[in-house]
Amino acid sequence: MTNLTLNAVSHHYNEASVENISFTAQAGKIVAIVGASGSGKSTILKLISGFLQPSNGTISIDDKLVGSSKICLAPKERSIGLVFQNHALLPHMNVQKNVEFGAQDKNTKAQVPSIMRELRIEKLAAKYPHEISGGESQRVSLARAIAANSKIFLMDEPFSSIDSVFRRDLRNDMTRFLRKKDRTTIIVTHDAEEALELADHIVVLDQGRILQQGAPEDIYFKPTHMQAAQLFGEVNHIQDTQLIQTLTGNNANEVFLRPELLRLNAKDGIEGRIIHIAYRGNYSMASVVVEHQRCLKVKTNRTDLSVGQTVYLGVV
Amino acid sequence: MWPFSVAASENWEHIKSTVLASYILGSISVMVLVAFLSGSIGAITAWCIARYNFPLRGVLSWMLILPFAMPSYILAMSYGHLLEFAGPVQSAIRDLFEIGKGDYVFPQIRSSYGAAFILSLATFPYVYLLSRSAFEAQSNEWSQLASVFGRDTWLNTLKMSFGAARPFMAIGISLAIIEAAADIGVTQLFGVQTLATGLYRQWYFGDDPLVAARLASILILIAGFLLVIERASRKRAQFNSNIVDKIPRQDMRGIRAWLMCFLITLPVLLGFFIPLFWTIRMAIFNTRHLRIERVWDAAIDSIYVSAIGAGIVVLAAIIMSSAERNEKGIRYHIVASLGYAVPGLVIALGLLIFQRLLLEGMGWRLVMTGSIFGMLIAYLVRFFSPAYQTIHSGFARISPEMDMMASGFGKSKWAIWRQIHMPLLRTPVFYALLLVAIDIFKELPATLILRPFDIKTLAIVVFEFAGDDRPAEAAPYALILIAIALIAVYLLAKLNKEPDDKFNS
Repeated sequence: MTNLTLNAVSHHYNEASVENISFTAQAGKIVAIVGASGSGKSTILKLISGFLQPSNGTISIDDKLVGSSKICLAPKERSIGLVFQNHALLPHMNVQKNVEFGAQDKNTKAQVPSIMRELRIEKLAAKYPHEISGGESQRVSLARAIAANSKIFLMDEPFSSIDSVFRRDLRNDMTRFLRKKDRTTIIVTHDAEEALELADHIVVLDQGRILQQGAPEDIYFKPTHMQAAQLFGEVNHIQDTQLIQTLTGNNANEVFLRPELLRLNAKDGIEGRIIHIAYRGNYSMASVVVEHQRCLKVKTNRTDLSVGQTVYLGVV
Repeated sequence: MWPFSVAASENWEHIKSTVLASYILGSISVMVLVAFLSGSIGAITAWCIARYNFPLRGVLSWMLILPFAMPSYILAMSYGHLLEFAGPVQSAIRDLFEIGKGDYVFPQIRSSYGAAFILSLATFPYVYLLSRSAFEAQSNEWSQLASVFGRDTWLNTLKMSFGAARPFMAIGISLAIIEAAADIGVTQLFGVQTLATGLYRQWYFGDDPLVAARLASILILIAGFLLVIERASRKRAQFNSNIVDKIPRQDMRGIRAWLMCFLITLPVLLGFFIPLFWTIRMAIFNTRHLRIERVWDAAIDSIYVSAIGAGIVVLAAIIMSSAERNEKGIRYHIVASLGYAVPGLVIALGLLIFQRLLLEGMGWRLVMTGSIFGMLIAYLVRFFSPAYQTIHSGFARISPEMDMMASGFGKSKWAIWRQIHMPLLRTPVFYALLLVAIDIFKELPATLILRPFDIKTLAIVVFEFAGDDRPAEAAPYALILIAIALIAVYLLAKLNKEPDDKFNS
């Protein structure tokens, strides 16, 4: 089991810059790096894998320094398994050979059949990459990384090219597998739902800097920046101290309240009027105007609401 | 421009006062006419093939590259014989209309116009291939947008399509111009005075490296000027390879369809089948001249030189492309690729001057001409660019993530090259080998000047016989040359048509 630590890492190269990045991926845990396009997610992966060298700061695997402005261990010396969005399968090799490509010696090669069985790709062994689906390709890609006995897995948008129908299944399988194998994993994604579901720790990036990091529940329910909050879905950003006091009983200057934390009461609470209802299938999002013309969004399962109706807002 | 920085010799003064103006004028007129003619033939045929359905369209679409298998000096030899006063065409006209010499006007094939016509037939496939790709890469959204705005007239569509394809036509035309600038086969056989034939005569009769260097400089200057124009015109050109909605071909019907079929067949007939049939006829009716063992020797020499030359050129392209892949930022190829713009004749004479002025002074005699070493250097300079472009685009199809993945697994650069790059580059390498081999196979000037005495390729034999006005004796050699070139062109077309999608990463 392996710890990965980035300490105040910076890298400056044209537009692909990151600044003062610090986080630790605990042994056997999954860390998700989340951010919009161009936020520096892939640059961090390249820094960890050794394809880029930090301008400042240090990268350590367990207690061994692998990257700094003075030291940059080659990728092959870091025991890292890479899994890419486009799978990077070798088109001239069949599935079996692709998985074996990762295996370094006879012992690890001997484990290939069991790895393939666990990832449910043993029947694809003789097929070539162009003969299998995107989801199957990604399973092969992961199997190859496992076969290489890599201590750390780096996954760059591993599910984004998979059809949404199969994505959830693949995600579940992979997470179960990674946890079972106790592999330290870094997943780069722009999909907030994916990050919340998979990760033990989330790092939110914006323009090359860390906006916030922490456990998924903290990132979702206690965002500290508007950008970080918005990445994970709709949020009510309230800066009216009186309204905050009335709603939550806190004296804070600003709060980020998720719509599902607000409740529509029959009588108690702040009076408001519904101005819009968006139907979202298993719930509806009601836009409610309260005092001083402030608009709050409320997630609700009620079906008896109508535009113009007066309601009372409270916190769950 | 060092040749102009030293004092002029008496020879140079003589050339300057007598033939220099006609050399320059001859070169410019041939180049301009070739640009116009091969550009027109290539672009029109490409437009028809890309935009219309008509009888034999499928067959003609690949037949239009057949002239690649027909060296220009064989075309010149055929048409020189077919269209001369005593040739079958003029004889038939005289017999048919019962007229005699001086009673009719017939264009003189042995002229700069004739040379330009022949060179255009040999080079229009460059323009055709590039223009066709450009036309086929155009999106249907353009024409839909034009029709929404009520601008979908025939003329507007034509202007829009040709405007967008123009940079790619320019690349094809510039390749045709370079071939025309370097040509000695056609111009020498037709007695047209150009800088290239002047250079050839300097090498053949003269003994003044300064004169050769000065003529070569002027030739490079003119070709370079035309190349700069071409580069400027395609500066921002880009193929859009992700076109989803391609412009559908229109069905031509009735007489218009057959007219179009005839129009497209014409350059194929003129550029390939007519000279081929003439060559076959000459070879069949003159078997008494045939010395099988000599034809065999020349064919072996041609294959030997082409195979070794193509191997070395492609090896250099692989090494340079691999270096660029591994070390980002390396751009050696930019300098190396310039060679394609330099006529083979100039490269050959440059190497001879280098031998004479430097190597012989160091006691190394016949380094360039004593073996095929000089030829191989000339081929390397001349044909590196197409080989490099092919290998480089092959590398571009291998995603960088594959290298990163393999490095992460502890594979060395050599292992990545051996296990990933080379297997995936098999098709591009084979394509590049064919491309360069066919060029060397037909190549004349550099081979002619730098060859050692024991090497006599098919191209040289054909040129020598044709130069002595012995086309019947040249025909069997020409036929073998065409047949082998045709196989290579067929394989190229097949590879081009069926890219290895399975390995498309």
